[in-house]
Amino acid sequence: MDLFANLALGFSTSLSFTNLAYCFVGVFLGTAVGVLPGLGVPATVAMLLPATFVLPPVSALIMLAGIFYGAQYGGSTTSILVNLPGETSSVITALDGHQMARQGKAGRALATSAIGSFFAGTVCTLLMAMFAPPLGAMALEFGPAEYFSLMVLGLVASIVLASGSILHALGMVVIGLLLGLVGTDVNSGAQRFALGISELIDGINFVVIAMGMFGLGEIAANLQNADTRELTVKKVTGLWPDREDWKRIWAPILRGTALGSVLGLLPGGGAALASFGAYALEKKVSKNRAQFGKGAIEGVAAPEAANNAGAQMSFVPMLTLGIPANPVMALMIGAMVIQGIQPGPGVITEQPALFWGVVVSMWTGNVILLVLNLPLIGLWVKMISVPYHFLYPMILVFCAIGVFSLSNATFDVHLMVLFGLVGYVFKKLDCEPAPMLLGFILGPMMEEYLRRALLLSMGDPMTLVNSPLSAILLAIAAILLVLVLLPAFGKTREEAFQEN
Amino acid sequence: MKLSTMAKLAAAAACLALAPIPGSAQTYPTKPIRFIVPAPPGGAIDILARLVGEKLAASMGQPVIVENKPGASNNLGTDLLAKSAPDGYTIGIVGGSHNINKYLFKDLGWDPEASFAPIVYTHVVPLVFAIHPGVPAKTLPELIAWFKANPDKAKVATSGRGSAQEMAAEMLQMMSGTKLLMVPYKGSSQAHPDLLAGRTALYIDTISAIQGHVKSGAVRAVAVSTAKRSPAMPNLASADEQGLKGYDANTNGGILAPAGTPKEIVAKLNAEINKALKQPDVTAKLEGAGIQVQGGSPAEYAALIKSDLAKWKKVIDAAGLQPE
Amino acid sequence: MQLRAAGPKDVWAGLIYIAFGGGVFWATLSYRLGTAGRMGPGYFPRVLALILVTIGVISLVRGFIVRGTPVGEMAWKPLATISLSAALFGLLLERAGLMVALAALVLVSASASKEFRWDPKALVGLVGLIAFCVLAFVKGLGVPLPILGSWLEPLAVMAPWLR
Repeated sequence: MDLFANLALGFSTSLSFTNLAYCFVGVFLGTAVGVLPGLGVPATVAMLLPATFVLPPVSALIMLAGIFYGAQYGGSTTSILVNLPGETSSVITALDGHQMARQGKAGRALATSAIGSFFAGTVCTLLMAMFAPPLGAMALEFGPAEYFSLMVLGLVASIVLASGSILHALGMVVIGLLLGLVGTDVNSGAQRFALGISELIDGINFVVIAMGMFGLGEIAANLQNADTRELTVKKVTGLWPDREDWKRIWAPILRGTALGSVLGLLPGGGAALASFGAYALEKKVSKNRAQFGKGAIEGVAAPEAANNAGAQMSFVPMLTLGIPANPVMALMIGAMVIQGIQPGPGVITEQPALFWGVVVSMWTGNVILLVLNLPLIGLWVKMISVPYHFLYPMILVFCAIGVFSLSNATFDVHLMVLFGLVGYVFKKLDCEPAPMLLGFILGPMMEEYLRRALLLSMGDPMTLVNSPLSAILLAIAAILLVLVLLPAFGKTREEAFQEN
Repeated sequence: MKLSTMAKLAAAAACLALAPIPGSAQTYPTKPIRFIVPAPPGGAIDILARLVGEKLAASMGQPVIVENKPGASNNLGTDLLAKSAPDGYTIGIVGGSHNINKYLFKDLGWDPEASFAPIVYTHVVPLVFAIHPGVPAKTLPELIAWFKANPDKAKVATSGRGSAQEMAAEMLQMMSGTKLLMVPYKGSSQAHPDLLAGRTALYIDTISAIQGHVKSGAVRAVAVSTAKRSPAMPNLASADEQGLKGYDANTNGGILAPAGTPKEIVAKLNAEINKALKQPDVTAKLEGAGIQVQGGSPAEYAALIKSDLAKWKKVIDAAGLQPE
Repeated sequence: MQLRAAGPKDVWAGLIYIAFGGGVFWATLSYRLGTAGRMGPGYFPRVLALILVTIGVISLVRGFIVRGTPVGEMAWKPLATISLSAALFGLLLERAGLMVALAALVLVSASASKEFRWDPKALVGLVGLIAFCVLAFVKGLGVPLPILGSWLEPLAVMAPWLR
């Protein structure tokens, strides 16, 4: 079997002392960057890129990849402990993960996140080893029409994940969509809503909004409640999932892995939907759906597995087609080019040791992450028992430095302050930030794909349903929307009756 | 008044540090040099800045700090460079958009010629006419004929307003008399999937970004955009050779200082950077990435900026593009 | 700010949606609209603005009909202090440098807590935090944060490693 020969080649490459060392450096740095709120992975990879020029290509890629998925582990830690998501995906983990932390179950949430991620990582390594080239080809089936329909489905999912009023979830999604449009329009080059501020010409960075709304807004709200001098209100109960927890998480981890590995293959923004989609799915199928948003362990397990699966599978289009799924991948392609390797379908045949070495290193990296992170859980849990009045100035320091480092601009720090104020007001009005952030990510992509689809079809809207894939996605979105809205109308009526 | 004494001392020290002392070009540099890259890390000008910066630091004995100031089609970082002190301690590198943006953006805040003292022309990256293999054309004239016969299929990917990819496509439209549907993308990586799948027919992309797909056969190269052939693809005939007389599009760049930087310092930087560009490891790394290393005097670079500005103005006027 | 409505949260949220949507709509008036088949830069945002205003109106109406919980008390003071501290960091960073900006951020933000007092141990912690940030971010990761800033730049003559 080719598979075993390939895997053997991969193991012999990735387990060499040098590569193992760079893998460790990568995942360690990644964890650190992920844990520190605001400090972005693209910025870190960019800063380290010149240093990789002198490394052998395999080691360089193994290290950069390690930073990327290491940060996914680290990012969940911060969002669970202090409700501060620095990555798109950790917004979802924060929903239930932080609630668990407040109930004294931070250890279990962190362990669940690590286990879910590790499982997803293992499955995806195997999938990549077996099917990478055909899976990569699948990515090309997705044109602008299909992506637009996928984004519509994502929007509907974002309404599902709101735990409060559906009306406000909708409102926040639309506000997010609009905020996402700030900056230069790709199609016409027009500057929209930039208010004459040159720093806004490229739009608002996700991290600025997340740090403002979750960091500043949250801290102000916590300071108001005198009783939350410490983040953990209840006594810490166990650092490891118990029998009951295991029973509850295995199925969500499986579903999350499946969903994440499919979405991760789509370079045009699929991976961003992985954790949102998995959470929405669990909320619809789980027996404990009433607990979602209040500390359901399924709400940590599924999105964490999906997120890691998505992150890992997004390497497939890059390695097999030379098409990067996100800015970090684009930088890695830059690293390959500098090393004299042409990214594209030729990589597997011309550089088998590089291809299989990187694929297998993701698994060894996941093992290192598990070994690195599980013992740290005790330490993390201790950290949040530090009195809050010592903790929050430190959180602010990391937010401020991280936000500055996004594009080395103090403007972003001031923008973060603005979003802190906005976030606090919304919090007071029970308008949740999570749907807004998803709208923010989807907004510009949705518009871009819709306009491109119509441009390519010469203005014919039927292009959105002519492709079976696109039609199916829209149909699922429509069904899901009906499922979401039906009980909502019912509830409103109930409330209205109570009123009378 | 302790504080005011301190303040005076500080002010005096500041004057010492900043005042241009006559003859300082001999001792230059005495402190670290800031090297502004108006683009995100990883692109052609960033790679070049880092490679050159490393050599400069070694040869001049002062650290060279590469600082990425991306944003607004490179305009943010370029603006910062234009407004920095002209003392030789801030230099910057620009790419192809430097000679285009003047005509596509309102209130730029800087002028590509008046605001800068050119130091050296560093590089040129040729573009490649890459078509989906399903398009029945092997040469540029065949492609133009096919576009004319199938106007509904003449869909050309571009990298957005003001990109070299867009300018090259507009130049093709202007010189060949075809009508092309421009489909804007955010950049190469976004445009490639649709080209590979055949949703767009043509993309005139940089040789560095597209050559992997050409080698694998995922796309077909029909011409190179520069007047001369590219050493990276010596068998590919240029558009000029194939009948589009005078067609010459590329993305090029160089290193600039703010206008008013002392001539001696510019001359010293020019000499040092020219030396750095000739080092074999620098050349090898850049050529491998499809970047052709240039060099020469400050005056030669100034002349190139002038002629490029005139060239793109003609294309932009013909296309009727307006700052939006 | 107690409204005499059944659901003041819905009312306020509705007003915000309407104001935001209205503002966006007004801003899109200067963008080219295009057609549904060939959208200009104004099309998508204008449609979204109209949807947002509609949601705002529904929320407003619901706020007057359906009973909801009152808006809790606003914590203006901690909110203002936290915001001020972060804004100060932004203002001071390039002028007075990272060390001063961090000290301002930490001290001002900490004063928002009821537990705030001058404590030598906490000051040692502050110095340690600043040292950590300088070493980890500037020296370690190479984030171009000015350690001294333009005001204190002359001090670099005495300590060049602070540059």
